[in-house]
Amino acid sequence: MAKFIVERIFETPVSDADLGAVAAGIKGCLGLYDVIWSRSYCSTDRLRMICEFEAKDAETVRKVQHEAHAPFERVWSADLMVQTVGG
Amino acid sequence: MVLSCDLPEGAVLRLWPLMNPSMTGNRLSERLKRTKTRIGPQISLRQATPKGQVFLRMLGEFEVFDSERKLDLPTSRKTRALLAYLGAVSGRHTRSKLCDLFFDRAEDPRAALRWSLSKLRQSLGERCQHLLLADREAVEFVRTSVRTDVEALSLHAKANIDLPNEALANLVRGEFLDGLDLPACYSFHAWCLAERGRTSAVFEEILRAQLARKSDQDAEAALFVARLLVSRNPFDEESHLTVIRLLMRLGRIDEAIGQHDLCAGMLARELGVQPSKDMRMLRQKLASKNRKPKAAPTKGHRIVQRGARRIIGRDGEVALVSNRVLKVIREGQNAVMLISGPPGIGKSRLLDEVESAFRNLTSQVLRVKCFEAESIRPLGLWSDLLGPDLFAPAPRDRAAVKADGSAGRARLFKDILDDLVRRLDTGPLALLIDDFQWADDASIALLSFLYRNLGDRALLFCLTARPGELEDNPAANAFLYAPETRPLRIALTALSDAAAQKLVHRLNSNLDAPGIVKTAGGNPLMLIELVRGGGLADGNAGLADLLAQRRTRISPDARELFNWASVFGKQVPPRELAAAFGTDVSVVLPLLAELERHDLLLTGAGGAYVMSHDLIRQAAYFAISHPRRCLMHARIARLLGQRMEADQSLAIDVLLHAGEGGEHALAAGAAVLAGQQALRAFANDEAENIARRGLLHAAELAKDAQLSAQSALLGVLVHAASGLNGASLEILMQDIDALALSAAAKDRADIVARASYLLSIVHQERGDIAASAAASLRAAKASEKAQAAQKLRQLANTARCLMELGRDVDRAENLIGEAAALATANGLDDVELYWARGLLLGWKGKTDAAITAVEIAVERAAGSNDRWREAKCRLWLCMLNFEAAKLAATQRHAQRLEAMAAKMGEGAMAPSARVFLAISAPGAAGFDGALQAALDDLVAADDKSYLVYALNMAARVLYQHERVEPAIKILASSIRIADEIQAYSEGIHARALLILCHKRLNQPLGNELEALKIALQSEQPLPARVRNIIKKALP
Repeated sequence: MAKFIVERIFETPVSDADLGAVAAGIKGCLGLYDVIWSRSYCSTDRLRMICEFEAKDAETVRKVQHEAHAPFERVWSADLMVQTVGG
Repeated sequence: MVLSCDLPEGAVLRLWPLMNPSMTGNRLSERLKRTKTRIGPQISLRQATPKGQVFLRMLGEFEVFDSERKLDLPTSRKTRALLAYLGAVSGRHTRSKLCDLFFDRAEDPRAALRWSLSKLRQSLGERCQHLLLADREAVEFVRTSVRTDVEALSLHAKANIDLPNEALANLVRGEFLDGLDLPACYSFHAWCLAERGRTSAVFEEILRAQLARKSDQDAEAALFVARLLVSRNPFDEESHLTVIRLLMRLGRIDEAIGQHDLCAGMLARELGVQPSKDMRMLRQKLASKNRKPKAAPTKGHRIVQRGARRIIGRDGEVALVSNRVLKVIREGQNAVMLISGPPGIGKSRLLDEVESAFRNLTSQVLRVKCFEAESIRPLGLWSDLLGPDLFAPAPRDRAAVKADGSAGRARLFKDILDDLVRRLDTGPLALLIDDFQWADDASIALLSFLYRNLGDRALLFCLTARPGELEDNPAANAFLYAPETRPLRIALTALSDAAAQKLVHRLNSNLDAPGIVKTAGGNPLMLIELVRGGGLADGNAGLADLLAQRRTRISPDARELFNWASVFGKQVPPRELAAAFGTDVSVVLPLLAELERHDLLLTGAGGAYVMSHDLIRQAAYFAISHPRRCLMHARIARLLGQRMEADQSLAIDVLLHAGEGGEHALAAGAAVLAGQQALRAFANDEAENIARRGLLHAAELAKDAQLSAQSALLGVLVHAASGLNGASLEILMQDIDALALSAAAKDRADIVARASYLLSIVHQERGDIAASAAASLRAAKASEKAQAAQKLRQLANTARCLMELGRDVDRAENLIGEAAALATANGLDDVELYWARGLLLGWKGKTDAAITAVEIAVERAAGSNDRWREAKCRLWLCMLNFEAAKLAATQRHAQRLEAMAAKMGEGAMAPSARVFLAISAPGAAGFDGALQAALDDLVAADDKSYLVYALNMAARVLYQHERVEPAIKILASSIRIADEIQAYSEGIHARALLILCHKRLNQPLGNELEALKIALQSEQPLPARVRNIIKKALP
């Protein structure tokens, strides 16, 4: 499974309730499409967000977003880069 | 001479004098002499406002001129706004409409309108009062006798003649009806903002046309126009580029660099973007030309310090207030004191004296300032005085409100009364309210209640107000003129010459006191401003001009920060101000200190800043162009919106800023929260006002969001409707009916249920129990239907997903059956049900029926604006038609899909459409360039499932056209990807096609046959199209 990043931009600050609704919508679709949600980051001004998923391809991740009415700007595949010990 | 246009003769000639109606006699003659070479020699004084006509100046401060002079307009802003509206909108205006626009807060709106009309007749005078026609039903301003600068602006736009820069500068003297956009009258306010946007756009059009005319001929004149464009929209990089290029042409390299830096800084700070490539290249050019950079010299400014020194020239007034303070404290009886006077006359300064007198005797003083923009915030005054916790918890539903009824409001008032009694038990108390003319109705009702119930307590209410604007606040008037109030009225007038000279001497003994005193006309604030400016001022400069000059004495960064502060309006929280400014607090702190030093901002309560004077805020605010104001308000709305859920008291601020900034979704959401908050404070009138304002914004939203917002806002209106009269309830019912109809048309049973519930409440309010019961029943049914619709969507959606994935087909079929039964029982319909049914039929090989079902799904999706589902269903129609060898239909759907996909952002939809366009094209015989390009795009979009399907289909076309070798190559790729993503049916499909290819080449089938047999061992169900290929492939 590859890693994918979903970028979201909100016109107005997104509320916890809105995020909860999107998360609930996505949760229902993930199992069906074999997609795993790893984590998300929301900017402190609540206008931008990135979410990390694992899936077989980018289009499947897009499908899940559409099914859950989760607006997004783009989806791209990604490699995880972490700091190694002493590196 | 540069006069050329298609207007009737004479029309153009009228333009210039229309812009300057006050410029008559020698001044106009001189001006015309200077400009006639540009405008035309025919202009004469006869083009000034003719006798019996009036000229309305609407751009900037509203002014009216007759043939001889500028008219003295009524001090009431509502009355002036009424005149502006009648002058701007031609035709007869019914009295009821004008009452709705301007006087809906008045106890007797028609009487308030009559009063305003009588004031207008007085202002128009004998020469012009015949222009105002009024009968029992309607009011009209005789249009043929009215000229406005807005009309002239439009004529300029049409005429496109060369205009001197002076005329342009005169045009830009301000935005449409600056200062008259009454925030509390939401319909008029909305009209005013719309007109402001329109005139602003026309003016920009004129500027661009003038720039195009001048840039080839006169760089200096063009630079002036380009700078005007930048000042109107500082985020328009193209205008900055024009300014820089013109400065370069004029050899003013340092200025050009400064302009670049200003633009780059603003774009980075406020929009978070870098300058464009053109701008960067221009900067490089400038760097190469700028060999001697010079540091700009810094000017020192003398700053007049505010000091806690004795007030000058108000000895009589100070004695009056001191006596009243003593009386309140000694006699233990409450009292009201009203200090009134025009702006800048010293009301707040005298209030300082009251505060000081009170504090000398006791420590209990509460002071607050009202703001015009906040006049719709219910109990805003008391919330600021006593803290926002005075709101009771939210009533859960109508029943709770009913149970509370008027007792709820009484209880809230009683709680506050008790709070004040506790404070008064410890000693006398003064409540000081500055700018009382902008207090909201609920606050005044509470003030009146407290005054009546604390008669025997040492409580002083000291209010300041501008008399003209006080007339626009009926609740404030009612309180002040109530027989029991009997306020001590102190009307401040101009300072005597001696007192004024003394004040000048105290501020700066080196200046020419008599000259300054004469110019200031006894207005202390004007006098102070003149002293700040070293006593120098244009003879015609008014107080607003002088205040505007104060901002020119500060650094550019501080000035820009002050602009942002002026848009915040009320209290200015430093953190949000810094965020709006595009930086953090540590950066703005020195700038805030500079603004404090210049007495532009003062520290207020809770760490926030406040404007030192409302006129100073206005001077800064009105200097900002309308487009930029909108952007700034929008940004502030978004910033405050981040905290709105946690701190709902911000909702009203968000509503106001989002409304000004055109952020309709945010404004509608904020109106719901603010309206609910008003209900909690039992301020039903304010809740209604807020909800109606929110409905204007909701109307601008996309249909689904609009229905949700309208439903919530109508809910606020219904809960606020207690005590409404029959006509108002009828209108409310019509609005709710319209909502229910729209929601039903969109299959939004949840909204229908909500609307029916609201209707049941309104019927109950009217006492129509039968209708209320019927509406409740409808609400219950609609609610059941909404639940059924939700369940139907879930069942059909799961079934459709399973069918798309080709998994658990039996379960999917059961779910479709269950969903279909639910749909029949409840009279429901759902795009997902048709879609799922179509996929199931296709799976079973019933292609024609499948196509019919999916075509219905496309219709339903298009009808509900569900673009994604419409596109997906069209893709399935491409697949089903292609598999049924219906190539024309495939082409048609693929073309539509490609057009739709272009508007949908990234994804695999567009390349998928192009795959079908390539393989179903007439005469397509295999793997051509278009197909290769489409497949490459599909790989880039990373849709592996569809890529396998597309490769298989391409191989099938090649096989059908005897091009077996390339088909085998494609199938090898297809099998590899199918195995990688475990696409079972497409993997089998590819292997079966591969066997057919080898058979066609008469090659041995050993490995391929074995692979297919192994794959088939899993016994997973396969779609009919794959089963058909297997039948052909296997012996």
